[in-house]
Amino acid sequence: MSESVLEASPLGFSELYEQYATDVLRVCYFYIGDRQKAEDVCQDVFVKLLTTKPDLKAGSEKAWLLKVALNRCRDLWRGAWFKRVILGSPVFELIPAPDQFGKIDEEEQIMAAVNQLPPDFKEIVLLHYYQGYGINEIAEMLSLPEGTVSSRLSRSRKRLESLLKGDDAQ
Amino acid sequence: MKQLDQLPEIANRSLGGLHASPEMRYAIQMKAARQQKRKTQAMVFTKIAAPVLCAAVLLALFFFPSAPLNTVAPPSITSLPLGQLQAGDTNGATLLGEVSVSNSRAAGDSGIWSSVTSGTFPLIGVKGRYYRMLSSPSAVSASSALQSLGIVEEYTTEPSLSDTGIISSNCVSAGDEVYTFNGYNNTFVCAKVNGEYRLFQRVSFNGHATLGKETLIDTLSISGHIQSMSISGIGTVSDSSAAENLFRILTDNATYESSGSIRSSSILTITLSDGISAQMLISEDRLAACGVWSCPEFISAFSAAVN
Repeated sequence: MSESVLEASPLGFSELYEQYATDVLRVCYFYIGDRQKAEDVCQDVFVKLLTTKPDLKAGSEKAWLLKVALNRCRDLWRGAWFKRVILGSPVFELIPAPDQFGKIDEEEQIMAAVNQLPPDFKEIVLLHYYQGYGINEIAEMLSLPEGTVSSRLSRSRKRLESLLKGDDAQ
Repeated sequence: MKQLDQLPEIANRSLGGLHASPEMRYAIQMKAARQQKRKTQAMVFTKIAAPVLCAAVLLALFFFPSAPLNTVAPPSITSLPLGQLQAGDTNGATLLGEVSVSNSRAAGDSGIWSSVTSGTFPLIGVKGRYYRMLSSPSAVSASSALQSLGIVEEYTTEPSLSDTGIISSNCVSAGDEVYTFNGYNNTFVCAKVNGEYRLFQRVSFNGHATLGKETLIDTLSISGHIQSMSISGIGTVSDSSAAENLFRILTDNATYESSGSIRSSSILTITLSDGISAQMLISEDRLAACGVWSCPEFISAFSAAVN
C-alpha cells in the first residue's frame, strides 16, 4: 500500500479499515476495558487518519494506527483516574463470538491477568504478544528506549506468572 | 510462558464478538467529512473573506465617510447562461442554463434542491403535499409534463400561511398549471417558472410531510427506474440492480420519525434512468426528504456495497 493511497484515496481508507480496525478496536478494549469508550477511540483514530492524511511508509500503517490509539487510551485512562479511585475499575468482560460461548472459561485467566497489568506494562504486552511487534518496533511506536521496552516486557512476564500462579493456587 | 505465546489466538477467541462494523465505518466517514467542512469554512473565512471585508470597510469609510450601511440590495433570482444540459428531453428541446437563486450559499449545501438566501425555498404546495424546486435539471421537456393536477390558485411569498387544501406557490404564477412528471406520482411535479418547465421533488414543509397512510415509497415512487446511487463523501453504487436493491432495503426498513428535516452531513443522490435525480439529506442513520426516516440498515448496506 503506497503513500499516495493514504493521502488521497478513499479506497485506501476502506482497505485500512477492513484490515486493521478490528485489531485496533480489540487493543483499545483490552486497554480501557469499556466497550463504548474503545469504540469511540477506534473512531477517533480513523477520523484522524482521514483528516490528517499522515505521510506514512507502506507497511507502517498499522503501527501508526495503534500508536495513535494507545496515546488516546492513555489519555482516557489518566483522565478517569479519579473515578477509578472512588468507584473502582470496571470488570473486564470477555466478548466472545456467539459460537464460542461456554468454551472460553479456561482462557479467561490469562485475559484477566493481562488486564490487571499496569497500563505501561499492558500496552507493551499487547503490542508484543498480541500484535506481534518486535522490541525495536515497539520502542519506535512508543518513543521509548529499547532497553526500557525490554525491561518492561520482562517485568510484565514475571508479573503475569505471579498472577496466574496465584490463581492456580486457589 | 506458553499462554502468552498463544495470546493472539486466545484474545481473538475471547473477543470474537467485538469487531469493527460497517456502521462504525460510516460514522467515521461522516465525522471526518464534518470536520473537513468546518476546517474549509474556517480557512476560507480567515484567508479570503476577512481580509477582503476589512479592506472593503476601510475603503468605504475612506471614500464615503457619511454613507449609510444598509443600502445593499437584496439578492434576486437571475439567469446565468451556462450551456446546454440533457435531462428528460424526449423532443430535443434545448435547455438554456441554470437559474441561480442564491449568492451566499454554496451549491453543495442543499445538493440539487434550490435554495434562497432568505425566505422560503422555491416550492409548490398541492393540497397538502409540498414539492421543492430542483436546480438540476434547469428545465425539462414539456412532453414529460403528463397529467394536470390543477392550476396555482394562490401565488404568495408566505406559503406557510396558505390554505393546505389548495395549490399554492411562491415561484409559479397564479393560474399556471401544475403537472405530474413522467409518471412519478406524488414524488415529482413540474410547472413553468420564468418560462421554463421546472422539476420539483416531494419534501416536508411547515410541519407537513406524508399524508394519511403514505409511507416512504409513496413519496419516492422511483422503484424500477434507478440507475445509480451515491452518498457524498462515501461513494457511488453505479450498478442499477445493486442500487435498486439498496432502495428496496431503504423502503422496507425505514421508520418514520418526524415531519421535520435534519441538519445534514451528507447527501444521497438517486439518479434515475431518464436522467433526473432525487435527493435525500443524511445525518448519521437518518434520511430526510418528505419526512425524517431512520434506517441504519440502508446505511450499513450502502457502506458494504461501496467497499
